[in-house]
Amino acid sequence: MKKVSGVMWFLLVVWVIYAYFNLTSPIGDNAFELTSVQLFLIRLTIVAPYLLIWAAALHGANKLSDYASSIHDSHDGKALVHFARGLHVLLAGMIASTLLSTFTSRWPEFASTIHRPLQITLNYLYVMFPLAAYALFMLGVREFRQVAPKMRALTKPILPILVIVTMAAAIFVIGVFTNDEREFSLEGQATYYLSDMNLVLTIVLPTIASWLLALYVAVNVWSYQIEVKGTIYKKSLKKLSLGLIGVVVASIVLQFLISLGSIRLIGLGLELILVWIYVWLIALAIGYVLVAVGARRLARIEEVEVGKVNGKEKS
Amino acid sequence: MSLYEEVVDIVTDYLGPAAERYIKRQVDFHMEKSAEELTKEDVGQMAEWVRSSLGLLTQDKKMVDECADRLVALSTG
Repeated sequence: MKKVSGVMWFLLVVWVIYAYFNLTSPIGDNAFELTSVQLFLIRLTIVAPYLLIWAAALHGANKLSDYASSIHDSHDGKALVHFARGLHVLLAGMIASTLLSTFTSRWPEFASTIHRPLQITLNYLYVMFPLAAYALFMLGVREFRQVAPKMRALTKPILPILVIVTMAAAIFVIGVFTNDEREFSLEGQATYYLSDMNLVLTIVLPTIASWLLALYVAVNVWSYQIEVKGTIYKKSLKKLSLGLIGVVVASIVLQFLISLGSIRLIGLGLELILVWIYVWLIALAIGYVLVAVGARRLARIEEVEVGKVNGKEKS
Repeated sequence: MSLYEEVVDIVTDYLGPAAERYIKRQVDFHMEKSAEELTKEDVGQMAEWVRSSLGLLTQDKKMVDECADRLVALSTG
């Protein structure tokens, strides 16, 4: 418990640093011609929810980790250990990329001198952390199959997944390769600073692979919730499943928005960008809260003894 | 199928993969024997524990009674 509180305090300190640097960043290009007060308020409405999301994410991942550790010898325990690790990886990636992105905004002159390595690192953070997280989720799905063998028969969702990912991949690839500033930029900063070959091998293919993994995981988590036995267990699992799927879908949406590039994003208009950001922030927060609630409910099953739950006598 | 496996089979319909852990925990907590050594008398007693402990997890009294009654039937069958 003390350990969790310590990590939460650390998270708060990181957020305070992030908030200070973000809110005091220079206005820059000011593409939407906002006053400094308007810009400050908009930044505040994004910076503030980040604390709630990071805290919800850490709380959800820790709750799941605690529950999974308590049943780590079983297949469902092993599965949830992988899921908890994946959620921690997603959170680490989210914090690292947010801090690096804020750094480039806060010190634009300095960042411009090393913009190329900064941007390349940032792009890899956006791609590699989710990919690693979804790979861990896949390991979890493999363990789920030991608990609910009927999941093996659920091959039908494969086709819709392939259709959805193919369509998203086509839009993504067109978006990337119609971006004239993907490797070089005459006026500003390039989006990727990578040759087309490197871009395909290290950004495009891993991104598409991560979407494929993510949707496959989402479908399988839902399938597990349907196929696993146990009326009470299933009810407790439902919130956890919805939470995991919510987090996966929210991280896909983020990757997709990032892939548009800053110029296209600005082209969407301020209102639409803000709507997307707020929807994403809310979806992510709800996802992590559901994970925490679901893990708590599952843990109650492991704690129940005659006449008490979690050490408390039934009233 | 052993008596223990039959008990696990019934409780699995309600607690899923948590059933075996639940039964072992209940037996450890209340009896000085391993779960595999359960007798029909033990299962009858277990039905009463199930009635009170599952009632802490769900408001669905019908479901709890159904689970306990199936265990009772197993102990008297």
